[in-house]
Amino acid sequence: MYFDNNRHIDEYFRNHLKDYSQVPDNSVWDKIESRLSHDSKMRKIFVFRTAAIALLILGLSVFLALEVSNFAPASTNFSSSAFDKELSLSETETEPRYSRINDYEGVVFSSKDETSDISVPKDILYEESIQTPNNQLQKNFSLQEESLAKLTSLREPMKLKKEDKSNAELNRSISDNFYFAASTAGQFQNITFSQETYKTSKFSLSGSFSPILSYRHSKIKNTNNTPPVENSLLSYSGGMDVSYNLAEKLSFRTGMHYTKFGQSLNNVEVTSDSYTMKGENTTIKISSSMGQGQLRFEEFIDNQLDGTPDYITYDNGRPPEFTVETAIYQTFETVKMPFLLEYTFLDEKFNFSMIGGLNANLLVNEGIYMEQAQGTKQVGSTKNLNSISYSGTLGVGLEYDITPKAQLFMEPSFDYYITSLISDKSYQTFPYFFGFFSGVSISF
Amino acid sequence: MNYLIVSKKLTNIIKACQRGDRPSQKDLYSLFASRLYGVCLRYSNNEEDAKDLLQEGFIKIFNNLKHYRYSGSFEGWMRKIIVNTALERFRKSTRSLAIESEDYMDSLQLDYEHVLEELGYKDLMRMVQELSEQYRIVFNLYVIEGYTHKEISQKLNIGEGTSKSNLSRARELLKEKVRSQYKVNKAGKVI
Repeated sequence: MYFDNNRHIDEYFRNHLKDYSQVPDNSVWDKIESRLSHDSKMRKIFVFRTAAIALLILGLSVFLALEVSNFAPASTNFSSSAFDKELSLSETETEPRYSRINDYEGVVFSSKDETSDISVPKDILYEESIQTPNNQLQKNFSLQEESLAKLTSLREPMKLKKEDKSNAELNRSISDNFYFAASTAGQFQNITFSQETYKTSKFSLSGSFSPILSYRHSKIKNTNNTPPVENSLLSYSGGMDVSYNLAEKLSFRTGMHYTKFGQSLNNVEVTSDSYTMKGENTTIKISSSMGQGQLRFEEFIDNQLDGTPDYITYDNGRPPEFTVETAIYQTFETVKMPFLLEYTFLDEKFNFSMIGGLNANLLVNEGIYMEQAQGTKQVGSTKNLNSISYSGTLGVGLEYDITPKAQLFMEPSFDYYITSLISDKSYQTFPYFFGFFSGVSISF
Repeated sequence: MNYLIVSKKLTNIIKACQRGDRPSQKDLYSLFASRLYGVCLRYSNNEEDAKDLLQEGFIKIFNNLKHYRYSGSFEGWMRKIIVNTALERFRKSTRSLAIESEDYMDSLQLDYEHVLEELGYKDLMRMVQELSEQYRIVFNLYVIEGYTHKEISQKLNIGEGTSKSNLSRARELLKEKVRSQYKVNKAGKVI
């Protein structure tokens, strides 16, 4: 009887329905098109929202920093109009007024309208007496040549405190590292200040690159698969950052980095249950701590060159079981947007700082690769990955000023994912990596 | 291993779709919509559901085009996405898959191969659509897509025995539908 064998009804329905086709309504494409346009719009909204949140965080940080900062730029105390771009000893004085600023003797200069005074350490001034046309002896002060050298390496504006004219005691809060900028170089009689002298480098732009050693912390639930031997992977990361000085020692940094990380798999076991054979394609499923991967079986067989590898044997038409003898690499590529704070401990020619914060990571690519005679080739991909994950960063910064505006830096750091890379709840995988970033930053 | 070579023209269309070019996306849709709609009809019980499935499937196809590696059958790759989309929809539903575990291995004595030859494609499609969802999915996955019962059990989170019994039941129901379609008695003679 025809249908005694279930194969007949299976074959009949399969032969007639497998390639069955029917033209759908035009309304289906209209809805697809509408959805695609909507999704594209939503992606743009996401990017703008992320940028807006980043700007909001930056703005709040700036606001808070200004509120708590005790750094008073001289421009807030001494407006350029008050100085009228010139300071000089009062014409009625024949002797300069001296004062003591910490360990330095200082010379007090008054603005022309005598509303403000500036105290300058004497040790950076060159004193000479000159005879005025009316035969009075006038002391002139100018900058010593070595002081000019200090001025050219200015990193921060002169920290000045307004002297209380009624009080001979100077404010001792002026730091020992007392530099001040002059708008003119060379010897001069009057110390000239301009708006530009108070300008600070608030922003800096940097580029960095690092080899990274990546691995993962993983918790796998409910799997019967024999895991392969997993090892860390050496790859790389690099990108650009923008920093903003919130306060004297504190800055906020964000930017965009490209990072590639992953792990290597050895002794990957392929069992007969791992196969999916359908139509023209045969795929192999493997499990690792970074989720499930699917590999193309034909990648293991190179009929054109070497034939079937020795470690793959066939038995009565069943799918072969074998252990892959070459290493397989599971890699992930992300675009990382960091939100970091940097606190500077030492701020000299060499600077030392601590860095920490959070990152948003967008997965842009992934793949499973295998070493073959022709080179490394992609043989499959990992499934069930979260497109967005978050990580934390902790590191130290070592910086060297090559010019007042440019610095070389090295930053050893550690990144650890705080959300799982895998969307499948039976895998909780938290990649981490160590990096040694080096680069250049420019202040402006 | 034999697999279709993706034609150069199709490769260009795929690359343009990966860039989000709308006219190319429409071209791709036009090339494959009718065949993939056939797949959707098999997994749905009416045309409206099939259209929704096709729409959702194509959105996923366009969103996942960046993962296509230009090897193997492109249509097979798309079909897989459509089938997985159908299974996702099924998994989200609250219906229980395993409602029967009886052994339905006894086959009816039917001998009307010539009658089956007269059944149209639409008749056969309708018969499959009329199956309850759980039987329809297992029948499609096993008979049409070629999955094993073990793979079906993993995809649908059911036991292998349940998959086998659902398939047997689906076959029996289809046989009954064929019989009732042409009013053939149990002896297998056309009336």
